[in-house]
Amino acid sequence: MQKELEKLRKEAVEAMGQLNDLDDLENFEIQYLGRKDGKLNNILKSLKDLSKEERAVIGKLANEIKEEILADLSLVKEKMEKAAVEEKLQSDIIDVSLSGQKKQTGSLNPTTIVQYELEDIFRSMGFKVLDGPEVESDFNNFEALNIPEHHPARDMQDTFYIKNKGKNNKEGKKVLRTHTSPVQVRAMQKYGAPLKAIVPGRVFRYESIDASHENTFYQLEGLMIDKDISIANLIAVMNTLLKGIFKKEIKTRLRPGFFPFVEPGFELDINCLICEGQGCSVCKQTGWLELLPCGMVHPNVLKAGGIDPEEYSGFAFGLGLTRLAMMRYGIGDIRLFNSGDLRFLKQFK
Amino acid sequence: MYISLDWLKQHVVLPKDLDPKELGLKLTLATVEVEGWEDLGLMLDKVIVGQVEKVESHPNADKLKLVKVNIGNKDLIKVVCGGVNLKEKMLVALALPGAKVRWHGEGNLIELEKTQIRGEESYGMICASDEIGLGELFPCEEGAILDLSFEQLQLGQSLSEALGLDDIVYEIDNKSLTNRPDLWGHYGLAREVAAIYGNKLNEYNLNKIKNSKEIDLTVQVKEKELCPRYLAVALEGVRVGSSPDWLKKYLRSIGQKSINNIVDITNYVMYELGQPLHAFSADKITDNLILVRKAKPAEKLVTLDGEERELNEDDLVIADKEKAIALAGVMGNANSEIIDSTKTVIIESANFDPVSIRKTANRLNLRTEAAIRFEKGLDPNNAEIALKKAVNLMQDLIPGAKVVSEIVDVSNFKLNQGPIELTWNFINKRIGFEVNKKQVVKTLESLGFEVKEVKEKLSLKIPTWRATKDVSIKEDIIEEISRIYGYDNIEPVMPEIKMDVPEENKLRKLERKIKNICSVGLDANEVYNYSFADQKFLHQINQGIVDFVELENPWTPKQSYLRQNLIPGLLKNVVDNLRFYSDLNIFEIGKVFIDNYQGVLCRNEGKERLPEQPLICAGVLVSEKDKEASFVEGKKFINFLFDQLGVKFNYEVSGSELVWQHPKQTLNIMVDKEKVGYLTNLHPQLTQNLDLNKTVTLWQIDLTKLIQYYPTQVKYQEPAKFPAIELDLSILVNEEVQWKDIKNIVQSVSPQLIKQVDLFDVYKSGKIKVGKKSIAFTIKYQSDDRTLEMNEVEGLQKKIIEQLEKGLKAEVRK
Repeated sequence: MQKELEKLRKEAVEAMGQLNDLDDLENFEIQYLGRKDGKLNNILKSLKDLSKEERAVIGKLANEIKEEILADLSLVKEKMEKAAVEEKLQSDIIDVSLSGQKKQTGSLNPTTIVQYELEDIFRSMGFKVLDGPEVESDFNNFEALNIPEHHPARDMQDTFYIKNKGKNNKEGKKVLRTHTSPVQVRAMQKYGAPLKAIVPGRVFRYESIDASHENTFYQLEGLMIDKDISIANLIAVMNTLLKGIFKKEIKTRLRPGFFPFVEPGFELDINCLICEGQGCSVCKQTGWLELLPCGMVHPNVLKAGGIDPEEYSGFAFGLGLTRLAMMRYGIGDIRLFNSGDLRFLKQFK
Repeated sequence: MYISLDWLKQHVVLPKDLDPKELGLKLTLATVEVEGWEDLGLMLDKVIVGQVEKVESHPNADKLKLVKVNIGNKDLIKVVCGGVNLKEKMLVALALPGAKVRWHGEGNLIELEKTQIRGEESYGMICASDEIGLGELFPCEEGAILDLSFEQLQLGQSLSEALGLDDIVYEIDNKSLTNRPDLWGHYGLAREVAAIYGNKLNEYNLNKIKNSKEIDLTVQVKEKELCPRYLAVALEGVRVGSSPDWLKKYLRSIGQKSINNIVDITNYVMYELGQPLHAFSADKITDNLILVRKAKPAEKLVTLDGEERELNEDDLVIADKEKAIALAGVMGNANSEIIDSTKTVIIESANFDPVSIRKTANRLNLRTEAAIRFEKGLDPNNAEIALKKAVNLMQDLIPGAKVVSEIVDVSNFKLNQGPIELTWNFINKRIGFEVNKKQVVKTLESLGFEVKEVKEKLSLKIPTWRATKDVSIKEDIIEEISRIYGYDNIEPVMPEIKMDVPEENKLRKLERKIKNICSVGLDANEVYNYSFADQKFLHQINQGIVDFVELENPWTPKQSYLRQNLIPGLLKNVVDNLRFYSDLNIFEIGKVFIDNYQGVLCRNEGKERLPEQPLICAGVLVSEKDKEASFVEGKKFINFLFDQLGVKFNYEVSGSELVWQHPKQTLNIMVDKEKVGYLTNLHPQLTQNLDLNKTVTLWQIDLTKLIQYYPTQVKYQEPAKFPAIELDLSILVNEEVQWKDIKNIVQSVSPQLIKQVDLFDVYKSGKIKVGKKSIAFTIKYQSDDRTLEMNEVEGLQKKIIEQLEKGLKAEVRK
């Protein structure tokens, strides 16, 4: 039996020298060391016929041989694996310069992107996001906002009127809302005070269309009502808001502006982003850009919304979403937004 | 509106070293928006008066002339000029080298140099009016140069001096004056400037007027509401002629042409006090009787611009017994116009109802300087001051002018001058800091308020010029105090408010989620279309406009109606974009308008409702696929969308309800038995009408309906305890066989153990067999209580094949 084992050792060393690849190696392992039908095991099957002493000697030898084969084998295996990787490195050739095939990608209208960004800023400051009808009553669009019929302020908001077909006309005309402000009244009636809300939405103006004028565009109205809200509060909130929009401190200035639904009313200008206040063609050499009409909510509007102006005060503001998107992306022609032109729209993700 | 600095200086003392830019800025920050300012003298630097001495033809150019210009000394200046109206002895504006001009009135200012034009020396340029900023004042014909011969001017004198154009002029945005009737003249603005600078406003001095009764002038105001005050006076011995230089200069500096002394005086008073005046030729007025009455139905009148106007009973006219002589507050009538031979004039200074004036002016599109002032609501007290000022000026400027009537004054007005009462506490709280009481009182007084301080309260009498509409409540006073104090001087303070979580707007959330799924998950491109419906395009797709919400005043016929659906707009997008793309996947979310008046209430306590305005999401898929593949693509889209939303739904076969729906290729999208949308292939008729050679699949979801089912709580399922076995099957069936029948047969074999049947391939080709299609799908077997054995599954698979062979004559492909 000892002889047999020695013979096996010799045979195994020889066979190991003949191994070509990892497959051979695996076969070799099964052939010599396999549990079921391996050569070493087959020899050891007759171990049970030997005496205790002989068994100890033979068993030790068999173990030695097994260890030896395994150790040699792992060296061979290591070498072969290295060679295999080496060979792959040589043979695996691909053209990495091939261009990635174009995948169709979706896009959002740039106004949508800016709108959602603003909604997130306002929601983080505790504002509700509201909505209202686009065909609105003349009452909510104008009268409840302190703009009676034939008021010169109506000049500022040229209006599309809905044709009256003889029904539902006792409570006044219907209009395509000229601003998102009518939602102020609806929101106050629904939620009462205190109230913090924004209204992003589509608005309409009766005017001719050119590169800088549209009859359909987007605004974002904001409203905050609570006890003892002051002009100083308005300035602070507006500055914070602008910091959120432009991601940096923005120099602002406030000046009188007339909007009948606020008193006092302001125009908030920001330092021109292009020239940083030095004066350029964008800001018409003034260094300032008119950005945000705002003001303290007029007591008549609070009353129309069912809120007591003696107890509460508040401010409102209006942001031109479309205009903001134009500034953000440097879009020079407002008509592109509603053009449906995918060459334009596909660029905004 | 233009404001002259020299003119302002007549009424308020300003610092000697005043920076004109600073004044403009201060006005912008405290009062009105100054859009710009111009130093007229600087504009006209090195532009002088010259006389054309000689005109010769240019040897090298037909349209150009060689001109010698006399500038008052011996040397004649040689200039090349192409002015079409050039003639000898003409007085011209000569720009010398160094002057800044705007070529043909366009572009930036360019500094002039000595130059050669087609080989001939030119030592300057004879200017057209718009080349030196005078286009508005002295309009020139195209190609013509400014002809100054209408005036006697000294040769060689600088043009700014000669025309008195050495002023600084501010342009004010009229819109920012909408609420300030008192600021439509220089005196009112001077008051603001005085308050801003803390200086004194000069008192407005008037000379006493000697009345007479030579003419018995009578005024009858029939419409007291529409005409709260009417003053008139007659002057005799007026000689219509030219105005003195100082008057011309003021008018010119604010862009007004001098016409004659009478008209100039009335204009001057208007631009000074903001009160429009009108002068009638007295001999054209029968019996010296002036009536203020409503126009008769269809009454006609020829306004001073020569147009005949048809009036109605809403218009107010000034008339004598026989005829209308002016459209009140808007424009005079040609029949009573001042002409050169006029000897006696009647001057009108009146106050009219702003709404009435505005209606008339807007209807007739006559937005005159008078109308835009009256519609703001002027102070009736100012009418008297203005009339007296005009009489003073006439008597000063026209020797022999004599008042020949009483100053007739028919007055029916009452102003609400308050008082407004407010506490210091209110002021501090609304502005946001503790104000300096002394400074506040000074500010209010300089603006004309009478201030009484009683303990912690202020009692304010509103000045008449602010009492018509502008100032009436406490909040108005907050504005007065804070704007003069300077908004920029207010320290920002964050409000202290209770924290809360804002209530969620579910519909907005759904809309946003869908936009996100469509763009990121489904690679669709969002479009915005107009809310208008283009009737012409609708006609092209066989869509009528019955029950469409219609506009009363569309801007263009293309935008006469409001959209009732998003699909037509999307189809138009398809037509437009197919020039650039072969495949399209676009969507839109927007409101549509149903002419049913069942929407939200018009107003809170009312009864009437607005048109229903549901929020719709719709999209189009365009490709070269066959119709079935395209439809399946659409289903994949909808399936993915609803899966992401977590809303369970099913399809229901539907016929064509809308013109673009294919009668046999439409499925309704049902959630809990309610139809929330549909998927359809474009009707072949429309494919033809629109000349599309692609496959178009349309989908639409009504978000206003879907919202009831969203958001749904996710019901999670425990992962299955026992393994599943998936087997593929590929069969050949007749083309007409529908997938849903195959699926039903498969599932019916063992509803408990067959958990899923998923289609993965449909193949039609002549290579297989004509009229046949190959369908491949995966069947998932799984038990809830044990591990399935392979032979059991194979048995089921065999049964399925038998059933398919029996029921659908299917052949198994190997």
